[in-house]
Amino acid sequence: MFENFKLFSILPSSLKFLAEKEKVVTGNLVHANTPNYKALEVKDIPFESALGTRGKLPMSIHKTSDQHLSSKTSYHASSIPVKISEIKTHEAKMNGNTVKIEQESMKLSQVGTDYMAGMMLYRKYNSILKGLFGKS
Amino acid sequence: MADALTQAIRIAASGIEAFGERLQVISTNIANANTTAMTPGGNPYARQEILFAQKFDKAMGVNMLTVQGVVPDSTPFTEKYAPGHPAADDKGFIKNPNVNPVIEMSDLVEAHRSRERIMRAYQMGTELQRMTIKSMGS
Repeated sequence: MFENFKLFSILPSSLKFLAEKEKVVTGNLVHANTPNYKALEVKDIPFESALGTRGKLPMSIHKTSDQHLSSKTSYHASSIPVKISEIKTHEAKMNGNTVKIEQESMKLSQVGTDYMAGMMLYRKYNSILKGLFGKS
Repeated sequence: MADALTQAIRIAASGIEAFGERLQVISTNIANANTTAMTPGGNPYARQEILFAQKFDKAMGVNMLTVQGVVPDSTPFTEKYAPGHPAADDKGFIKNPNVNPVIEMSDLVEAHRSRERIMRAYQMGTELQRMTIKSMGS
């Protein structure tokens, strides 16, 4: 049960990533009419790189005795790198703007839902922990 | 530099403000669609246009939406024969504003929709932030 604790180290970086996404999408929506504005996006990253070095266990517990239990699934929850870049498209409006409003609206609700899901998870685990300590 | 959600909220706020000004300019154009001069041969109301630009806000670290300026439209005025009008020139013609109500109405709808869209983004930002604060406190 306790390996679920790593959620507390992974979740903040995930939420931070989603917040950056939310910021970029909002910027695109606001600048949907601004001349020469180029739409931006936050690059999604592969699952493995989000969890740090593949195959290694960078954050394994230091053991002082061979009798100690080792944790098999410890991940290095590095913060997810945020790479903001312009969306490559050949479709631009007359004023050089490359925002596609429909896509951005869809992204906005998607990011909102993901963020709320993350927050729900956080609350759930928090209440489980509190239950363990008898403070539900 | 502030956190990403605050930045998102501030960008949206700048957008709401800029689009408010755009709505105001369009309303002025519609209201003055028939405003002529009072002196003979004078120019009537000239249609106003708003120019948007992005401006980097150093404190927040993001590109805000700002109004670069409000400029008059250079489309020529339409002329109408009305010899009894106080603004009529020596040939009896008056100049009417270069406002096209159809264009203004479509601009109005477009600006309003854009503003609503930005408002939704703003609400999403505040909602996520409020949820975060609530979750951290519970």
